[in-house]
Amino acid sequence: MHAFDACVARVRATIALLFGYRHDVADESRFDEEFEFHVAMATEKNVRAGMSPDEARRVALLAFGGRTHMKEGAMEERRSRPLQDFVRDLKFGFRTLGRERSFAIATIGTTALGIAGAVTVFSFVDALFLRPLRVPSGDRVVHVRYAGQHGERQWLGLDAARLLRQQTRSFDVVAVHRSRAMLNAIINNESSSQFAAFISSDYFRALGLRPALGRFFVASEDSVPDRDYVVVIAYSVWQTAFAGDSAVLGQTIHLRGQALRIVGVAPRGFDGVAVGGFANTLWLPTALLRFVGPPCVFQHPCREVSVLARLAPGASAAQADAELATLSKRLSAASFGDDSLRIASVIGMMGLPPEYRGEYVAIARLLSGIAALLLVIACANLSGLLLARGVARRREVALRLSLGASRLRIVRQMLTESLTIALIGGAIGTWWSTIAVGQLMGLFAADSEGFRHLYYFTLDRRGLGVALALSIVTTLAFGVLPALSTARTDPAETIKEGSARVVGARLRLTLIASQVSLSLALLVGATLLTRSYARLMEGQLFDARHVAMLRIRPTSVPYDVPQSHAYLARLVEKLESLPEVESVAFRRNWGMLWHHSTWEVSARRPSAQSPYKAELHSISPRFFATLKIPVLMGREFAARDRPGAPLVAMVNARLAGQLWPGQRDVIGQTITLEDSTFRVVGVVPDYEVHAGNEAPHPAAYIPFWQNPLAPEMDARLAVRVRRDAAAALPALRAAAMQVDPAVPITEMLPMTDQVSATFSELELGKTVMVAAAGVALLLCGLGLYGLVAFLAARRTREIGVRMALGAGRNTIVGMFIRQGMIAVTCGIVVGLAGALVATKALSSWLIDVPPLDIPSFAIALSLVAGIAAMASYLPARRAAAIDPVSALRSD
Amino acid sequence: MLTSDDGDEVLQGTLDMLVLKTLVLEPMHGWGITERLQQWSDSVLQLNQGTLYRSLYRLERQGLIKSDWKNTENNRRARYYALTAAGRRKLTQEEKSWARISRAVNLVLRYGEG
Repeated sequence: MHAFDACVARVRATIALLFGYRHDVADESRFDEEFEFHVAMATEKNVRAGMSPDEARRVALLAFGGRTHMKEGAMEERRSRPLQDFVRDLKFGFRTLGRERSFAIATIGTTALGIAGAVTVFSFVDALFLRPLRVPSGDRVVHVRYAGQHGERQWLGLDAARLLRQQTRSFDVVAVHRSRAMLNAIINNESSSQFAAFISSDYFRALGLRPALGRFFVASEDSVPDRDYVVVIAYSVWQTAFAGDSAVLGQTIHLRGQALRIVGVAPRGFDGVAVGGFANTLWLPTALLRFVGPPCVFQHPCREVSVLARLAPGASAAQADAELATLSKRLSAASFGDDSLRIASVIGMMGLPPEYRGEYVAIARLLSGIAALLLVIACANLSGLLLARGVARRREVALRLSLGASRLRIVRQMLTESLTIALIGGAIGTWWSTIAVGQLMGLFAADSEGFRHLYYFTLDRRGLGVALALSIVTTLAFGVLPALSTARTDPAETIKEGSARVVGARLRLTLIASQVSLSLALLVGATLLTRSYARLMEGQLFDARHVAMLRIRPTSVPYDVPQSHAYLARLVEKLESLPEVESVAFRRNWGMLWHHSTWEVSARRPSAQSPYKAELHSISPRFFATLKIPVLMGREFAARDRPGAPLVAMVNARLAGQLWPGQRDVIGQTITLEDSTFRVVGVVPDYEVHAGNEAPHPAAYIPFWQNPLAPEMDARLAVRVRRDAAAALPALRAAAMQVDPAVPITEMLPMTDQVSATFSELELGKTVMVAAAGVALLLCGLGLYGLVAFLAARRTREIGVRMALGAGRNTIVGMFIRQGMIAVTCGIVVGLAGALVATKALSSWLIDVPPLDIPSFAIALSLVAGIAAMASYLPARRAAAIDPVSALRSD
Repeated sequence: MLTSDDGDEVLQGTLDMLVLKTLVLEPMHGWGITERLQQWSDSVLQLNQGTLYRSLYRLERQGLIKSDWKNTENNRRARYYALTAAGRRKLTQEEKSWARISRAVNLVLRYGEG
């Protein structure tokens, strides 16, 4: 009860403080004493004037009016009333904005643009790095990882998890998972790609989740390899494949010919913990890890799974780290089978898992930089607008000052108006950002195989908080200067003179200059990235247009090598028979068709000792013809290069240069790849796409059918069609299904989509930068237009005088343009210097474009100069068009 | 409300200026201010006591005056009000603008009498 009273008292005190109804006992007793003194003095005076003491006191009291009423009045004067004043200012702010429509649109629009950019980027950074996992115990669940040598993180594995379960007090649940496995499943007789997580039985308990239906795994189901074929399905699978039927429990799905029994359905909205990977649709016990290849689970040492744990009540991350340190030798033995020192530590489950974070730091920095620049530009613009309006309102302010308003009150009122702008602009900007996030992040989340990855790009409470805080802080911060400058108005001066002194113009010119410089820097970056992207899409040595890609996986049926080869041969024959197909090529499953291979081998001349590293591509006949990559020398593979025929290889120009330096013709030379020796039959250019200053990789090519190093099974196909690749996809799939419906197609998209998805960061960076540069340029133009128009308006009479004295319209126009252009030139000089430095930071994004690319600088410069010229010329011409007589008459 | 002896209301903003003016010479308590205003205005200006205290409290909150308990010559405890530096500046400013306005008003009136 006592606590309740204290709570009520605190709430009341807070309300009183806000509304100014502070109940001040000291104030009251002071008033009472003053009152009594006053009445006593008045009574004495009345007695001296001849009244009776009673009469004297009655008259004295009368002079006060009602005592209580008067006390209330006096008390009210003691209080300051922050909230009432604020509400009044807010109403006034709304009214003023309603009256000054164009000012309102300009300021609110500027704020909205700045905020939209910032909130969009925040949503991105948040989803990647900051957002805690959305599960009931999200704030207690942690990854446990080793720090690797190069900042990467390594998994602990199953044995280490068991050790942690037995030996630690900091964790109350220790679970393991492997959350990134793509499997082909047959559910209700339909084949589809599913994304599985292999988990220990306490995984869901660690996350604090309960099944939507049925149950999760029991410990015994995860104790013996390949005994209990059980599966938990995602809520979405339950809804789409089983129509939400509760009879789903006990039904089976098939993975690689094996039936698995559905024991439970995961709760709605739970997509697993693999942020940045695929959204999980199936959960299987780790005992079934053989579905993703020959596992080492239940052998020693084995690190095929990652550990996640829930901190025990009261345990902190630091305590857990300390406890892990005491176990480091035994952990190392459990994970690696040796006792070398490794540091395991806990990492909060926010955004991407730690091992993938490094990849996205660069794009996050780039986007944050762009958003910051945009916000600064928006703020400069806003400041300029407020300053201009402040000048226009000097008379109003002077009048209010002379009527006794305090300067503080004026400043506060102007800041409240800024706040009104901030709130409306912030709300609109936040709304815009949700649209932008949807568009841009959709682009980012699609991977190079056409799958969408798991990111939570939706705006949540934290995003809204950031939006609100940013709008208020920026608008107030940039509203202070104009507010102070306006409140500094000298009432006497202003009213008397009706003065036309151009106060704030210098500040506004500086603001314009800074806007110009930032816009120019953004624009240079945008042009560089756009040109890079254009090179990526068009300027390469391969032609991605009209090429459809398919990835087929006979291994997941599962077929053996002869079966796979037979299938692939039939598939190619079938596809080539289609009328719209021009040519079909394929290559080994690993790596992109046009990009580096992940398969690296040693390459040397048979006589040489020291080998070079080369990427190995195993490719079909007519591979280069299909992608329209020119063969520099010799021939490419043909049907005759089959098993049993002499071994042949091709090399790229880079590898040829390394192995046979200075030699022009390398056809007929022999090359040893690993332990097999091949005769070189052709040379191709270094056609692979690479960004930044990366040198082309040396590469060797061997025939797919002939590969003596490893048997080929799964493949990626490139099908050149006569029309639009996207439109051809259904026909290609239908043809493949006719050949063999059992073989899953796990990737199907136009090659152009794959190329841009592989460089999704470049595409994202480019799109954001172009948008930001466009907005910056627009703001800059509007700001300059407004300033020149304003300067011209202040000098209407001067224009009249000059024209009356014979100045031509061009002279007048020139006069105003010159003023704006000085600021613009300063801005351009600073902006160029900034861009020279800033583009260095972009160099790792650039493809075939140097950071100091002259055309990019020229394009950006001419755009800025052009917009600036227009923005000064138009208002200047309007000013000069005035009739000299009416100009002279103006105030 | 500040009223003149024939019941006309006097501009509200003026009351604060007059209160400040009464404190120019020395700190005073509320009763003293009432008396002085009446004296100085030849009893033309009558002050509602409630309005006076509201004015005092308001001026104090604005930092134009400050107050303190002191003993009167008859050894009674009373709250004394004194001008602050800001109060003095404000008063000068108010006097100037009053002079300008009253001059303007007089000019207009005299013009009418022509």
